Amino acid sequence: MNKQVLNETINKYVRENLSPKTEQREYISKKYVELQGFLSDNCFQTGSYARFTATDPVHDLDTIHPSKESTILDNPQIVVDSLYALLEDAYSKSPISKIKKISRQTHSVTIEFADCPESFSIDVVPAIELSELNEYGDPFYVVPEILRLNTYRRHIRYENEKENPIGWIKSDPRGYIKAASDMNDQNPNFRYSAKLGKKWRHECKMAYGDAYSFKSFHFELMFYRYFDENQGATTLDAIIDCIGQISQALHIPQFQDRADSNQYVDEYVRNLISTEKQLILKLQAEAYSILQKLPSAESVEELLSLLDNFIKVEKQNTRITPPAIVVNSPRQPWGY
Amino acid sequence: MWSNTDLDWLHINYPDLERREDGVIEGRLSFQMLHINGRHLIKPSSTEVAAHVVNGIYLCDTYQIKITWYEGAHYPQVIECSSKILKVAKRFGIKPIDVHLYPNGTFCLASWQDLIKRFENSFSLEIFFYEYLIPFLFSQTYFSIHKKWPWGELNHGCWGLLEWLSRQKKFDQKDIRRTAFWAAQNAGPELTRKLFLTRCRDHKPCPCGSRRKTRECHPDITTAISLIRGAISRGAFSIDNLI
Repeated sequence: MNKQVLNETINKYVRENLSPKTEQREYISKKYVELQGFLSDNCFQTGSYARFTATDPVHDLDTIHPSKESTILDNPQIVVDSLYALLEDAYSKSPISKIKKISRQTHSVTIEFADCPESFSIDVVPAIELSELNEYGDPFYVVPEILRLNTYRRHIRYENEKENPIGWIKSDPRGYIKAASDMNDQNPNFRYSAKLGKKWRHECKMAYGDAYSFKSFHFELMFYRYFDENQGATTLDAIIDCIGQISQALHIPQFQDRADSNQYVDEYVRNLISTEKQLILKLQAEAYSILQKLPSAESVEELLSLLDNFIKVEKQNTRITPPAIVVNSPRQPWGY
Repeated sequence: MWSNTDLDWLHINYPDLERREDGVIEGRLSFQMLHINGRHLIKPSSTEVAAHVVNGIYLCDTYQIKITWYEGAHYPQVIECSSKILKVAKRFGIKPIDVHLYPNGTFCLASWQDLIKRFENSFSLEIFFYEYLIPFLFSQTYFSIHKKWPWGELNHGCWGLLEWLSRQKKFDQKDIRRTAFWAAQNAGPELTRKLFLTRCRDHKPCPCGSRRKTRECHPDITTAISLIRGAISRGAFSIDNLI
């Protein structure tokens, strides 16, 4: 198979199997329009669904509600409480949606719907719009600080709350959406490869639960960087390279936050313990050995079977891999 | 030149690399390697990766390369087409030679003596890949993250050639002769005389002229210099032969 056919076949596979289905997109749009109504059109989508990198089935939609009444002097918890009260009241009277549960998190309000065959929820994060603009001319926001912390750090942060109350932190959700959207316009293979990679990550997460700590957004940024550095790259090249680069991604944080260059999106890699790294790299090595066979696939059937095998991650995986080639005495590079 | 066995091996193991009509091998080389306790494991299994991830270094990466075999050479030359390595040099503000690229962009995979010794009798693309090329690319990827070489490097010029000899656990007279010859070619007549006609000692000023003690500047050259001086005094070759 030549490279063009390989790439087109992979893209078709992603479109047909991994992209959210039309009915689901319509369902989500309907729910989003309803939410907009409740929030007087003062909200926007964020997260992977807004960046067109969500995979089927979509389980949640992240939205941001820039509050006009609040300021950064307000306690985020109080802002969340008032948002919760507003949404609870609105959804209780909704003629459109059947709600399973509406709950108040520390940083957002989550609405779980009962009228969706797959579990589906909308997460509404309150925010405050800043006058400062990002490189695209869109405003920065502040969101509750806790949103940007991982589970472990949240726990520590809660313990310190009395001495140092939880506040707001600068964020650039529109910047990430715009960057992904521009990249997708430049090369649609970005979207296809990110979906394929994220689907694999999702399957790893499903198989191993919280023991699997590799973050979805971190992975998406790796795809973004790859396409930024390799314009015109194919989905085939990107998926092999980005899965390969997971081995490099756990050494040190590499992705600066758009809103704050002193912060790293992948800061969490510093806190990964050895068993977490072992699991991430074990699954990476398995996936990489499958992906390396893609370029030599001789038929569409063989290619599809390899892709199915790639995204099929099972716990206690018994895939047999051949022993490594062992070479002694590393050579030291020289230059005259 | 590479044999059909080499090309068959290449097709099976690295199908993204193809031999063009003019004999050049070109394409993407994706590698997977684990470095542990001074050993390389190429294409390690997931179990091996998981077992050694704490005390080893595991990296995968892809480079766009071109491998050319010039007539009369014992081994081929490799060049990177996507400038990934040069970009790393630029990012760190260092010269291409400091990321072990020759001025024409080809890789300094190892010292000349090492490569000649390995391939003077027969060449195998598999050995070239597993012992030289993939470890070289692995070290480049590691350097791009940590700004240091995973298992050290040889200094540039004659100093690196001497270091290579000093660091060998096993060597023969041929290695000494070759090192002396190439170091002399690299150093020029004046420095060659200075190197091989004067005793080099750890606590004395380094022959490179840095004014630092040899042990603080080029600590690994003293063994090689004594070996070469020994060979000269035994009459194995003379300084005049070298220059």
